Amino acid sequence: MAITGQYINLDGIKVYYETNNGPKNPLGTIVCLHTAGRDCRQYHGIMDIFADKYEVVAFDMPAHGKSWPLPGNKAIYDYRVYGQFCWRLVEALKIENPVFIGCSVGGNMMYHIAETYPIKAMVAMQASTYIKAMGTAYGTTVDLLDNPYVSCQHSHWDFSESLMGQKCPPEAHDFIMWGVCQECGRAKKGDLSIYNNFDVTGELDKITCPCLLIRGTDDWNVPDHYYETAIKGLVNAEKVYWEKVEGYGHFIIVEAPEIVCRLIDDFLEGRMTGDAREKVC
Amino acid sequence: MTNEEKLEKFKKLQELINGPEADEFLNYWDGRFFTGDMTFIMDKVPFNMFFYKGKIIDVFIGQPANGYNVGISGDEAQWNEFFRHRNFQLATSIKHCDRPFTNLGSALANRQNNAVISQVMRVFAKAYCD
Repeated sequence: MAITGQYINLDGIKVYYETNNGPKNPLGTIVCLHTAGRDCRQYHGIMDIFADKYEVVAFDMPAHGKSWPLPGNKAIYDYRVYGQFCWRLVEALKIENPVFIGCSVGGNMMYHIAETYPIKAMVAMQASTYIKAMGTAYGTTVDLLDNPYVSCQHSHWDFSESLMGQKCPPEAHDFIMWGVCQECGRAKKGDLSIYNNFDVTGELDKITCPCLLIRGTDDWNVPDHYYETAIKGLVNAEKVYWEKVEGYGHFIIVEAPEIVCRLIDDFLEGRMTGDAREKVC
Repeated sequence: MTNEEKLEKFKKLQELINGPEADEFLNYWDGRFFTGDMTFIMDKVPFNMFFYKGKIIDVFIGQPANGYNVGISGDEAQWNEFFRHRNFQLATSIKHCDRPFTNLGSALANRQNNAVISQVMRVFAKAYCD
């Protein structure tokens, strides 16, 4: 394993990030965004597989993993602020040709980042351009995750269980559930607040870079129609590919890193053919 | 199915939770911490289970004496849909389910016991259908 971790001070926040120390590749440096409440260890499998071909950088969001929180022990609550943070990190680390990849809330963020910043390509997994407004009932659930009378970990146990695919290997399952054990209620509330108030569908026409969308089909929480909405809106993207992976679920970066890496490599090497817009639109 | 026949299904659930399903329920799904009433309403008829430290010690038709603690309410179509996919999170999702189950009791109590309720629901699907 060639993964190493270090800190960078970004606007006063100590941010933890890891790299696989892979070679600089003109096809891009891969920058990874983790799922809600978790941390950059979700990308260890992908970092290992790509160690000889791509430089991969994964970081812990503020208030997650080993990264410090924002002042006042706060997490990020707004997707625009999260996008700014991601781009500031790219600038601070002097990453050239960033290829952004993300899963779940990190996948949703791909659309905003690609709309707003000059990235080389994006890979959105278990992602949507919008989340249906869920009103006060869902707001109550999000608030309860940071309630002193609720265990964020135990009360969210079944939700993560339900999202995994039937082919998820046991060791990946255990790590995903260990991620639940380590969640911080305040950070989770922040991430789900980003998730809950997200809608960047109206600006999808700003995206010009190549886009790869990946869906583990066992994920009931991110159905096909989210992808179809995205594909219809990506009218100016250089290329749009949509790959469905049967038997895997919401945490596909942990459940099936080999498959995800093969798809990303095919995408960056230009081996994919066709365009999802031809089928969906 | 009559209400009496449904009650027999809840008694079968009791046997499963207290027997072959006990270890997983108590230790993986944290059922060992659950003491109190859990009610499933099927087509307006409440079926109540009283738990003591994760063991079901009573099952009856009717509301719990102190009001609803935690549980779920749905009509026959909602229950049949749940029995098909057996995904508690989907069945209660206002985002993805057109007609989600209604929670019984406080939002706090249901959030605290989300995993426990979900597993009792899954075992109930076994008792009811398998």
